[in-house]
Amino acid sequence: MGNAALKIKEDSQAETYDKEVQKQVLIEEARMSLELFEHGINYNLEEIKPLLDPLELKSGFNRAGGLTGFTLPHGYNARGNYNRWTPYSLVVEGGKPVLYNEKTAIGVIRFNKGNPVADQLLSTGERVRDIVNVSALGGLHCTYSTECSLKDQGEDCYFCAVNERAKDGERNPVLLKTPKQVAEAYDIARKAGVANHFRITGGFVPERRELEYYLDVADAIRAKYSSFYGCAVVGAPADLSVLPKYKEAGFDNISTNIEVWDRNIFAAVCPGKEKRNGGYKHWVESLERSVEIFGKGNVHSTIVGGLEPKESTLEGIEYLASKGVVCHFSAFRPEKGTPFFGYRSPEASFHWDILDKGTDIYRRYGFTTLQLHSGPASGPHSAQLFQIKNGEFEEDGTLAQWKFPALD
Amino acid sequence: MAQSEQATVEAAAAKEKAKQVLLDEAKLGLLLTQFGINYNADEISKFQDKLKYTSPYNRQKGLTNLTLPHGVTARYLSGYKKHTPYSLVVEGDDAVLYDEKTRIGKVTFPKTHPISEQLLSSGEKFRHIGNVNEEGGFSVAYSSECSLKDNGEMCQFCSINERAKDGVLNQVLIKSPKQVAEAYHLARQAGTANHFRITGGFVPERRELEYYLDVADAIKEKYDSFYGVGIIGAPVDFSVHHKYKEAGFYQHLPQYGGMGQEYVRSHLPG
Repeated sequence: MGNAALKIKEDSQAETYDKEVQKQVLIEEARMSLELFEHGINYNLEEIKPLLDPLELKSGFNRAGGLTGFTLPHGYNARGNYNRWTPYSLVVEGGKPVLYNEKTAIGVIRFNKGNPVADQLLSTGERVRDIVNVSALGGLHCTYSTECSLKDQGEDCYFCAVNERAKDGERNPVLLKTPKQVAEAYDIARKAGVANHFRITGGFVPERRELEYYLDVADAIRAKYSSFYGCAVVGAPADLSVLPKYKEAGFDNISTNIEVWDRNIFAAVCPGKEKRNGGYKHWVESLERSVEIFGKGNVHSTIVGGLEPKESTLEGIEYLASKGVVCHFSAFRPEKGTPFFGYRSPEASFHWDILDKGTDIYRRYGFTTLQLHSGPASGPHSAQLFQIKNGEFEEDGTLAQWKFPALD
Repeated sequence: MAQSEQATVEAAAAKEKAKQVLLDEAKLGLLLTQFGINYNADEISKFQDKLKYTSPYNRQKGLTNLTLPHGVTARYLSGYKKHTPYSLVVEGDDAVLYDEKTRIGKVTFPKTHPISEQLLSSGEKFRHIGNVNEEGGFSVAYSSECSLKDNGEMCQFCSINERAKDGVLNQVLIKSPKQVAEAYHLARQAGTANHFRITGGFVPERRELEYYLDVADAIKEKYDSFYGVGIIGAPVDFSVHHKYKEAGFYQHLPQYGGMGQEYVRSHLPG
């Protein structure tokens, strides 16, 4: 082999080696994000508050107060509640927040910044952020109501706090959003270039009238735009023959959230989904039928990680992947006002195992980064590690903020 | 108010106050489980009973149960934790519990009954057959396995099948009725078999009844009666319940395990 060719080979091998080293650094950062979730972070709020984005602080996703979301030194997104009794701390050095593990400086973190479009007003006086959340990915998330009708029978899912959201006050002043309001917020966001994905979700509507509502929202959006790229998060419809209507309305993706894979735990923890809305078998069938309509990778579900043995969760992820469904997952957080308040989420190592093996499953079944982000809000929890494993990060070893492809 | 009435009122108030102190101590026990305790293992080890420390009941967590200043026992401790408000500090001859900088008070650690080291006629140590508790009772886990594992249907929280891996801490994996009766006899002679509890996993072919009756018979070779509880899985045939009573058990306890039938189906599949 000539010298030039040898150099190219050596450079290529060095590049591959560097990329592997960088990948490992990012994977460790992914692990750390789970440690921060488990242990929390010690900080002085008076020192840190000036560094938090005022717009992010107003978001309903930050209703607990404390820290907003942030990115770790190499770009991995993380969150952490205040905890005095933790090895992790945030210290302000030179005006920047530096994360420490005991006495070891991990590095400067960057707090998320809200998009100014969130504070724009609709014609009816509400702000965009009262109707939809504008994400860092350039997408919109709309929780159309702050209640789930399953509560009327005391059958709402044990972990779910949607019925608590009505108590959020200023962070959530519009309890039921009209299709007109949603469409107007969408229009403002789209003109600002941040409606490249539109997700709509909520609790069960009385008499299962979600379909009507979602079609009305889609129609209202399409009064101005010939198409949108979005995801309808729905309970499994009683009559599966209505599923194509969501696609006809313009939704490219659908998500039906199974929450728990073990059928007995599903029945225990999601009593309303089991008793009132078809039951476990029907929910799984709804997912499989949806793939025939929306296509592989465009049908989603989610599991709350930590409510069942991890082997069960991974079994669910694999089974649904084999049927063409992207089964996302999150890390269980006990929420005030729910039966599971006072419980604790499993340890970081538990969640890591699901995250590591779950993303391997996604890769084996050929899902894409876009598909991993296009479903429910739990998508980014696994999507970032998925990207890292695929080598989708910058040459300097940082993970850039992934964004939806621009529609316009 | 007459003097005697006043005294009664004051006594009642004092009792309520004392009760509250104890209730707070009970809560503290749970907080110690949640948060863990910071301590220097080398300094604290001299306070801990060596046999209790190595008992499988402590699952090698580093701390045995401990008795809080007013007598409440803190159980199910999660062991050493660096980042916690609670710490154990050695002051003179005492182990003292602190909540941050607030001194809670002296704690003590339970001591193993000396009978634990006695040998049975077959050479095993008493403590490899049964456990003597602080309440003056004697308990036996007759086996280190549950046959439900053969179908992969063990209760999802239960680690009985792990106990066989405890090695020197758990040397007799299946206790014979004769061994149990001999250990019972030693305990009773020492005045510490005032309650007898026997438990274990499912026996293949649901032969727990036979085993428990054999144990009861072996005990009754020396004693007319005993006060005890048989912990059993729900028998397939309820008509056998009375046989436990006839054998001499005052109580039996079919273990339920959880809320709701869906939870039972998911977490206790066997």
